[in-house]
Amino acid sequence: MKEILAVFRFTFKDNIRKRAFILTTLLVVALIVVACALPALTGGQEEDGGQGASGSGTVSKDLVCYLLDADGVIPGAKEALAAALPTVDFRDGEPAKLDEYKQTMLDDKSVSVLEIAPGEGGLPQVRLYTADFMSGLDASAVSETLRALFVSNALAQAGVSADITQIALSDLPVEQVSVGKMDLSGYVLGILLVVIMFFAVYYYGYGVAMSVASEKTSRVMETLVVSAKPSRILIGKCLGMGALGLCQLGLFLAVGAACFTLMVPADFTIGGMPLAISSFPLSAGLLVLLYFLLGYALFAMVNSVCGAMVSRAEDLNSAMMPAVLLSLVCFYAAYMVVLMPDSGMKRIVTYIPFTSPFIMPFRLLNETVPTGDILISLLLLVVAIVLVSLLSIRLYSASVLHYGSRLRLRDLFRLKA
Amino acid sequence: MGLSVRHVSKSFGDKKAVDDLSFEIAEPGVFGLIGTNGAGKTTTIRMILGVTDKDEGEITWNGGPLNRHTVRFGYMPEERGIYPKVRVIDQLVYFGELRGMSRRAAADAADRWLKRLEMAEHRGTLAEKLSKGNQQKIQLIATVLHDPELIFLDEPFSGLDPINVDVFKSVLAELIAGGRYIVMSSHQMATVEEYCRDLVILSRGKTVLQGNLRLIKAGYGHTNLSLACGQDILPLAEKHGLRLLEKTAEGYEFKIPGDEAAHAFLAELVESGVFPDRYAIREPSLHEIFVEKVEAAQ
Repeated sequence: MKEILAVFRFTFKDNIRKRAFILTTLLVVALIVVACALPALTGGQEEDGGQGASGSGTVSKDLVCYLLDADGVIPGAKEALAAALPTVDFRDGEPAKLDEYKQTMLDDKSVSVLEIAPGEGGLPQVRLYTADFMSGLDASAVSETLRALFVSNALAQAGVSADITQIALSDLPVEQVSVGKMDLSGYVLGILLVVIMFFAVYYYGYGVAMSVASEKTSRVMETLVVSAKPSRILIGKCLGMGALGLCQLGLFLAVGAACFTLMVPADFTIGGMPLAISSFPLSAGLLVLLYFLLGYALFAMVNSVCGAMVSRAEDLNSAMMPAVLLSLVCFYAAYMVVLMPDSGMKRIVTYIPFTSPFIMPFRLLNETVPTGDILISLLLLVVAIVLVSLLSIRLYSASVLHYGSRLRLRDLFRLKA
Repeated sequence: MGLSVRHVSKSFGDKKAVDDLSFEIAEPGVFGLIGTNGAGKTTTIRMILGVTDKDEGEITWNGGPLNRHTVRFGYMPEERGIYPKVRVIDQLVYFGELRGMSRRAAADAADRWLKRLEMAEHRGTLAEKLSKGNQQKIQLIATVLHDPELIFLDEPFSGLDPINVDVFKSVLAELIAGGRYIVMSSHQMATVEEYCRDLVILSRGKTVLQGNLRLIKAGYGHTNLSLACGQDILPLAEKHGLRLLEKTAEGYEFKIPGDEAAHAFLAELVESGVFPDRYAIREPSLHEIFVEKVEAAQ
């Protein structure tokens, strides 16, 4: 136990001081902060610089729009548009000067022209001229304003009262209520966890393999295996990298939760659906953590053998290819279930020890998983970890003192310590 | 009782790396494990240390099993290995902890040894920033930090400058005086002759010679004449049946048929007015014995 603790502490300290680790941590934290700030930033931009309605006070008019409606096809269009788009300075234009306006637009992208003319079937024909599709007036806002005015005028001419017209023009509110457990928050967080699991398996597993390979490259392995049992070195190393990963991910989650709480507006929605991270039960969170730890342990043991197979760190990437492929296949298998939650694959992916750490966190956050499924999957995962660990320790012990050409998997099984 | 290796063998596939090796180190001191490259020295050391399983035979310490729990051992491998990007003190404490020391005890012992080897100023330096000689000192400290009873030194002086050789020799002398059991593997025969009381010579896994070095050499009798002299004395030497082994800047090394021939040769030299600076009839060197035995075995 003392040896495992010594290896654990050394691995943790050695890796937490690495420049690559520090830079990655800072970079991801910065990305999380930016991602959480985006909704607020986007909302702010709309309020300050957008063309839509704003609160009281003086509004600077950044855009100019010449309105060409010589025949008065939609009476009151200028006033209605000016009210709906307060940052736009609507001016009465002359149809004869259309070409001149177009020329002006090429030099000054803040200028637009709105042409309203009689069309077919009693409907007016509206044309919006802008310098390009990204500049000038917002076509949808113009369309919405003119449509409402046109309908309102038509209904008034038909003798419909103003109250009825107002109701006819209102949006019909539809509230979606989920009876099941899956909501947008769970779905987004579930997918995020699948990605984080893959990241953890790949990044921290690679760390274990690299640590083993570099000890072989620097020949320190010979001193190590004499000092402590290879199994203890391996376990201590995997635990050290796992703790490091947990701390890093814990930091990311803490920063994410803090930024989400402080920076994301309370009424923020995606596609009209709110996001909330406080709605998950603690038990689900603990099970997610357990699956994360077990999943990492399983893949870390596989990766350690890859590290022990090589004598030079340069050979590590090719030696790790089978482990990377395995994690990729498992990741995509879980992702398929995320995309098709009702497919028959769900149960298989839940039980297979290499895929369950990817899919179970998603399932736990998005549905009521039967206790039997959880127990069977955890049991199979633990059994797989024990078996893979025994095999990995055996292969690691046999290969750590092998120098020379890279060992193939079948060589490993033939090797005897 | 000490270390006992009895009828130990090890094969890798079809290749017999060590074949029926037996030796004993009954008392503290330095034991020489000598051999050509690939003779089986490292495999033997690894089997004793328990990192490689033996196929046959028995290895015991004081009559019982030899493992980390029954004896504190230190090992300085031929391929020096330290963590290049870790501070000197951190890795020494780590190695100490792995060998059962507390953090505090490991740090104290590391500081003591760093001071002893004049490395105290490099305590916080990354190992990769040290010179090769200083890295070797770190390796030596890592080997003896936990005060081992049984120490394996594989080519301890290789790559060292004369100043550091003296430092290492002084540490070795301390360890011998401290009653440690030391197994030394080296290609530098002069070093082995200087320190080893008993030895075993391996060739392709087989033992070609073993026993007490002094007795082995005595068994050969006086076979060599070492003579320091500036004049050309070869014709006279041939006349007395002396065969030239080596001519150096300092003088000559002859193979002699017996003491009488060497004495007669000296008498005639003096008569003819040649007075050598040094004249020594001696047993063959370990180097000569090694070459003779290994060549015969191959």
